[in-house]
Amino acid sequence: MTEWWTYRPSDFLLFSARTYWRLFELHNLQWWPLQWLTVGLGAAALLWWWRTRSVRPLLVLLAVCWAFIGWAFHLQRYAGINWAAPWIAGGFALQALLLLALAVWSPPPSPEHAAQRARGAPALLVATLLLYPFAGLFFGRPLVQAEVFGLAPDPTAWATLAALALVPAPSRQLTWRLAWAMPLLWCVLSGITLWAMR
Amino acid sequence: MRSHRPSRPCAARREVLRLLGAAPLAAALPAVGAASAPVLARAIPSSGEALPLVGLGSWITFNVGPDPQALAACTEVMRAFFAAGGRMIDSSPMYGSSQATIGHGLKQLRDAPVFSADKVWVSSGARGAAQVEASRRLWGVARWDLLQVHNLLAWEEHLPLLLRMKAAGQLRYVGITTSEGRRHADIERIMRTQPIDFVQVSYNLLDREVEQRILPLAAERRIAVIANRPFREGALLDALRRHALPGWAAEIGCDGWAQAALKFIASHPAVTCAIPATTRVDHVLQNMGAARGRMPDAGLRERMARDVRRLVG
Repeated sequence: MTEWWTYRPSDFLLFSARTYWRLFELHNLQWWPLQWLTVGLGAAALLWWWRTRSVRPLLVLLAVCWAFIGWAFHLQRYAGINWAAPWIAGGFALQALLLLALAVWSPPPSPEHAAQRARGAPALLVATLLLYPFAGLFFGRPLVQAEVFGLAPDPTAWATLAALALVPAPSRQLTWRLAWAMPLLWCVLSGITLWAMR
Repeated sequence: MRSHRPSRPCAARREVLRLLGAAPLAAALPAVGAASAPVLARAIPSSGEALPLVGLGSWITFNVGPDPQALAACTEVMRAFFAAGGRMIDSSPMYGSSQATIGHGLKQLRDAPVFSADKVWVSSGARGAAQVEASRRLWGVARWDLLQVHNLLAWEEHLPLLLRMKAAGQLRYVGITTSEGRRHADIERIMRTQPIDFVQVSYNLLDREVEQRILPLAAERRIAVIANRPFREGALLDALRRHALPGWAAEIGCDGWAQAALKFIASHPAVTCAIPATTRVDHVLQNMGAARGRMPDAGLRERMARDVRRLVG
């Protein structure tokens, strides 16, 4: 790509904002009422962490969500308007494997884990589960286009960052470090997309 | 510039009347006086074939995926476009599902007088032919009117391919494209050395660099010119929207800034067709209205550009 410095993010935007949000509308309609299940399970997993300091159920849930979103959203929907979506789906599948591996290899919770400070991660999780779906209302988008944890990539990525922050210190090895990459990358890519669509 | 006269006027009128039969379109037609004025066209230099001054782009607007509601809306835009006298639709494999959207619309409209303009866009020269065929299937056309090397990607390999395809009768015209002022030196070099029929560049009331060298060269080399980004993807119209039209707009029969912008572009003697993109039937009719009536002369064109530059800063 010659003269790469002359390109702006908007030059790579393939679709209109209307088309993009319509994706979520069709996605939500297709999978309704799965939204209740994903949010409910997310809340249950957070409650389980609160009581036991075990983040394993949350990681397993997130692994399933990343795999599902990679298939149901990126491959089945986003690929219709974005030729890069199959590659993104591959990244989501890889992330699912990383989270699963992290869940399997995490040691059981111990008393010192109970004392570990959560530093806002639980609050972020609550926000992605309960508040994020309503964020679109502030921008004039109807609730049918809501981005819901477990079905939409953005809130799921944010919830994953929060969950990774809850992983106890002894488990913070290579797999844990690698598991940060995809959610952070997705947040950046999504942010650029949203900014270019403004 | 001359009025568009189809080689088979009776068949063309029957076609327009058939397209006008769609109930939703009838209500969207502009006033009778404006609609009855002939669509102005310019000859493609290499063949003399007349092409209406305003076509239809598909970047972003037609990339709607398999959404039935959006596909139907795009089909209505195409219906209105053809009924208003439009012919050239431009697309590319880079534009997501736009090609499939066009193919969907052409299938619904049946025998639309489309001038198909698409592109080859792949870094491997060996995969060019397969991509072109895949694009043709998406459009559902038997033969391409125009194929272009998109943004000069691997043009050294794709241009010979397209020229071979033209010699074999698989397409009628060959071209190259760029946008936003990029690679103009390469564009000029190819225009001087290769037997291309079309060049597509960005040209509008603010982006006028091509007037210096590329447009004169196109006229000299008898290469047709397609103008993309006539509205800077809407940014130009957004900036002008709050300003009243200057007095010269009435002189050339413009009902809005979109028509003023298109008349500026289409009135350059070297430009063959401008390709605004839209998702709205009323906008496509306004755009096609720019291909009717009086066009600005050179003096008015300069006033238009000066006034717009002053308004948008």
